[in-house]
Amino acid sequence: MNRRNFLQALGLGTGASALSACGLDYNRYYTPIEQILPYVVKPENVTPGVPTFFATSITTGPHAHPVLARHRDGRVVHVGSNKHAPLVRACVPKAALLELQRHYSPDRYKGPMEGTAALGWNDGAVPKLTAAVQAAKSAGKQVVWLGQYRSGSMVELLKSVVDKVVMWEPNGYEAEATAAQMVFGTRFLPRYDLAGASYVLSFGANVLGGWGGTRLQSDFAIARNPNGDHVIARYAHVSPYRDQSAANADDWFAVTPGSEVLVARAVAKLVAQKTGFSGPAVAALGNIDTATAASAAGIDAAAIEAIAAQFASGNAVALPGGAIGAGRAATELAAATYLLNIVGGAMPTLFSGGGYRAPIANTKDIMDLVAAMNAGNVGVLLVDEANPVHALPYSGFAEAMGKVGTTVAFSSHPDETAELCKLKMPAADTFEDWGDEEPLLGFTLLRQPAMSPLNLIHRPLGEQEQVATKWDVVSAGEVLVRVGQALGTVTAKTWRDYLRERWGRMVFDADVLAPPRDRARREAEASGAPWPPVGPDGAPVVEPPPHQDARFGAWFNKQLANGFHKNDLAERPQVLNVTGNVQWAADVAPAGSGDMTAILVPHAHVGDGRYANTPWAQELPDPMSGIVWDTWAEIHPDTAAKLGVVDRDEVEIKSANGSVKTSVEITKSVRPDTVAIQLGQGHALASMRYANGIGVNAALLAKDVDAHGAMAWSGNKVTVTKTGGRTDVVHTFGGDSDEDRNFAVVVNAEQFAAKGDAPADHPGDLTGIHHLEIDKRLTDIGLTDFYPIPQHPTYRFGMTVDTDACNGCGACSIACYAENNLPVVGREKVRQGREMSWIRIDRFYKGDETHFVPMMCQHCGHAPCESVCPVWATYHSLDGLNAMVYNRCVGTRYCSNACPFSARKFNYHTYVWPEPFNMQLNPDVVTRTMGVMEKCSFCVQRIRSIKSAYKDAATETTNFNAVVPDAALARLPACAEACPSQALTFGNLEDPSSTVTRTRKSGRNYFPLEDLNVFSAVNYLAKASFHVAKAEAHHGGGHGGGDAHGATEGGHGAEKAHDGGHGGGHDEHGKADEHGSAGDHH
Amino acid sequence: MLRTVSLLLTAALFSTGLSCVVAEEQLIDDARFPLEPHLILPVWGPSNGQVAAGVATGVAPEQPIPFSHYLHAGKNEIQCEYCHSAARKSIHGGVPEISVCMNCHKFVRTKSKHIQKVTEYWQKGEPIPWQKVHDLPDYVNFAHVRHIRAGVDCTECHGQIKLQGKPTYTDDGGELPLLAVDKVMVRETTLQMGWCLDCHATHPSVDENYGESAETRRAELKDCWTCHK
Repeated sequence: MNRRNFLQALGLGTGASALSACGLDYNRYYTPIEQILPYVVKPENVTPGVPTFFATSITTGPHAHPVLARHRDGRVVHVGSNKHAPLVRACVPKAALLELQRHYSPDRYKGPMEGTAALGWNDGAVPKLTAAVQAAKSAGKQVVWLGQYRSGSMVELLKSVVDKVVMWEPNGYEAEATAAQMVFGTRFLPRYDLAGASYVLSFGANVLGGWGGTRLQSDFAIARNPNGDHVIARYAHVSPYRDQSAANADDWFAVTPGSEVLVARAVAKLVAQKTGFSGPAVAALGNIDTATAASAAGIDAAAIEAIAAQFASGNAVALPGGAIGAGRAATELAAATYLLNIVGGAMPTLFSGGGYRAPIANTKDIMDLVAAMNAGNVGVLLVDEANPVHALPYSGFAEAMGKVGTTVAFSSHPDETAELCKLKMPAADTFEDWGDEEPLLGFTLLRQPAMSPLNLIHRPLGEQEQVATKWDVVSAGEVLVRVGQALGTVTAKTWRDYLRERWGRMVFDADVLAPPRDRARREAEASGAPWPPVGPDGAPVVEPPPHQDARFGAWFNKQLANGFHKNDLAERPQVLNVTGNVQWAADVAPAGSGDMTAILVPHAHVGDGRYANTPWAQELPDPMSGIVWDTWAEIHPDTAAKLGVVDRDEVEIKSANGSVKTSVEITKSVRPDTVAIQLGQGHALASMRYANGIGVNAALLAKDVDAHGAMAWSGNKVTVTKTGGRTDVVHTFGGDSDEDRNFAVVVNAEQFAAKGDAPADHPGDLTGIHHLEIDKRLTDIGLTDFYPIPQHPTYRFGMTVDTDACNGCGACSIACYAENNLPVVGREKVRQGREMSWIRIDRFYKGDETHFVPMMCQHCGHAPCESVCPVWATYHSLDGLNAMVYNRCVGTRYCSNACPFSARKFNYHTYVWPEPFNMQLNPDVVTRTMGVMEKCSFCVQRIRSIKSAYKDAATETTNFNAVVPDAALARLPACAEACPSQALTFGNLEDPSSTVTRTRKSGRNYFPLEDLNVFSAVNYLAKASFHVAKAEAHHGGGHGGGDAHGATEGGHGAEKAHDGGHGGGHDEHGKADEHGSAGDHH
Repeated sequence: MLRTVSLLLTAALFSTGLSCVVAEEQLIDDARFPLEPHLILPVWGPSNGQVAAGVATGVAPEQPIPFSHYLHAGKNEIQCEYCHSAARKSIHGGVPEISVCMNCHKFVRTKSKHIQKVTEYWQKGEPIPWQKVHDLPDYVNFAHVRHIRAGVDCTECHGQIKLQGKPTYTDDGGELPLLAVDKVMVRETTLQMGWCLDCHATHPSVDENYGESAETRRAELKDCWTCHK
């Protein structure tokens, strides 16, 4: 009996016994004959197997971002960047990818319902709603719209249908809008442009984690990169809590909660003195003195003076408090930063009036709405994704809903508020609907359906014939248009027509029709001809409405194809005039009794709770703590010692309003007198299957609004007590230190600003990482490399990771989940170390610096994983990729053990995507099964398709030897495409002019674990810091510049020169193995 | 022989126990994160012609319409890419949408029972459920566009299509003699990896297209990630 017979016998036995003993369906382990279902009529522009891109936009809060939805064979599978959009850098907001997964959520409402009984649209839901609206109007009751922030045509449509529009989000921009009303006399959001800033001062706004939108995140990365102008933006953060933004800041001033406003005013006063600014802004600042502010804030007066000195030196911009700064003086804090920007000269280049102008309601408005509902004044309440029942537990919203005649949910997903609505009319979401948004003045984004609504999903016909799932959703705009028609206030036939009509009137008219019309009018006025012109019958010629103009259709289609429209208002700085005065509250300290202050932080990925039911947002580790699927209380080590608690002990946090019990996470990210807890979790609703039972609702600690009606999330004193219990919080981080093994490297910022990333005399000049010459005894006998050096005829793909640009937001990781079909494994499996993320963002603390270091497969030239694979499932490809052939892998896991970077992930199970999540799967990437190792492939499917595209660039002939240029490669992988900071750059290392080759010669280039001589294809650029000494130039000789690895591989095969204490490379090897095997079990 | 039997028995007992134990383990798993049941060893069985790629050739599943390539591509000399229009653009060859059939069959042989069946699908707006004959495993990335553009002939993989589906006519008393096709579409090649690699190593188009870099291309064509997803 040979091996083959044995295996066959074993297999036969298993098959028969499995079938008989456990009743498993063995048929599915054969490859069945599949079906090919061709189109009946093929849509234009669609070729099966070829992706089509639809320009659209993704909205979170007041920020809309232009993106391209990648449509493949009838469904959207990914969201990519729109390279042509102005004002924003090409990137993919994290929210765009989370919306993509939300779009395919199995929990989505399937169709209109009354209570739990299904309805039809035309014969049920819409007539019921119309009748309710008409009845309310005739009874003199209000029809109220309560929804998330929306702008553009939707706001105009709403105004003609409902009586009152309340657009509110829990961690929204109400303080900023109210402050603008106070200071400038108009309710709007100012526009910030960070790209030209050299000093950014945040008073709590999480600008690198989503506050102000992805545009600001990208802009900051531009300001931070000195290449070209020899200036590097310095970032200071004044806040009691160190969130992801503050962790990236050059200076973090941990002030007492609530005192930010005093610091902002004191800084503004000093800046005004320094710049000699005079005007109403100075008077509006009121009386504040530096010493008082400093003592209230608990920092040195010298620190405030230093901030002011920096700010006064020009190109400085101040950002308001955001969610963290929402204390009892939230609105005044925003007002103070506006005044600081004006006295500091940030207006109009860095700070201007051209921001968001759609309605933004205060939390006070919700409380007023509750009062109106309780008084029986609200006839119909329309809810669009707003969830005050969960976010404002003390508002009494749930009880008040019972006193409203008809409550309608337009929300597409279940949440606490939507579930209480009597009528559910689930709306088509962002990938299925028409729409527009106006994030900035003069910059409008259009949305078009990127796929037909999720309404008919068939499994293959034949024996399994069935409609697997059926969604029946209609656009909210469509429903409102129909109601408006019944009321006689809307004439458009459909929502799309409404949009077209408005675009004709508002944009097309000004863009296309107005210039010739104005010219004709001027000519008529000059010549004395009648205006408007008259026809032959003497009557004035009536022009058709703009959207019926012959040119409109083509013009509108062009705007749709772009996905955006910009006019000069977006380029012209909008100067703001201080018209009002600010009443500065005397007492800004948190209210209540207790020795601590609770800071309520929107969860880094779940946000205010909107993505709580989106598995990617839950599974992605928190940037600072690495915690997944939970809430936790961050406590300073000193406080922890005082309370006698350790990590993962349970504590009870009690405010005057309520209490929560959650887990302790000990960190220096909070002041000793504060405790930070994540908002957005704590849902208890079976219909939200992923959010249900995750964490606690920290909103239970807060109740009050500030003097101007904005929610004071962080304005409550609390007491923290140890309960004695333990929690099961799961996190993915290995530790806080890189153990001096070159994962996190820092350079002096001024030195970096002076030199930029131009080729340095010696690689590593700025990092001070020295390289040793390879031992001559080894080179003499040719034994520097045990295995032959791989040859790459055309490409060696590589990547550059700029750790200074990376701020840890995690967009790359989610993009990777979406592109490469990574399964979400859930909390229990993450606890076992089985998360499947191909990129992890390591967070290291080094001195005062927090480093975020994205780690993916390094595609080593001398890969430790390749040589140990017994079946050659992983090997070095001709393109320099560390390739992984899944169906050859037998799952020994030797490779994962050998990998010093813990980059490999093992499939302990065959994960299944519940319908309709499976519709999002990328058909270019295979889903892996149990027993298979997997890891970053540098998105080989994208490499394959771009190579193919360049060969076919000439339509008639094929250029077989076409080489893909660097520009087409730089943002090719999903992670690099998504990164708002463009911290990841991809390219060809065989091309001497490519970005990746150039950055390897930069003075801040480094390779983690370089001493292992693994010849990685991923190089890192060190983080710039203002707090480290300048590196001294070294000329150690053999740094590998001209050795056998080729000129592009500077420094390989070298040991660290100055780290003699490590005892050479072998110690390091030992550690690497430990690190590698520990990786599975963090 | 005795050894084989005992091995077989051991294997059967061993695996029965294991697969049941693992099936029970499913119960503790979270329903929100479904998993395929654990099977320590893959279930193996004879193919019964149910495998669309593999050692066996001659796979010819029954098709919903007795379509004849012999008549269309052979006798009437319709170019392959008239119907399979995606082949030059896409990874898929592209089975024609019914509208392409109806381009002609709105007028041609409309009285045939088979054409009437096609018209029925067309009117109902339902796709014709063709059975896949040339089916590659899901972990393979095969791009029609690269092969067509390299100058590989359709027949090199799909066989002598023009001779397939040779019709026989029977008179069933209707207006037209009924066309019958024995095997609509037959897979004449194995579509196994070795078969692909043989061609990648020897096909003359590589030398013609790549000239001096033909050797590099041959090496690339041998690289796993050229075809494996």
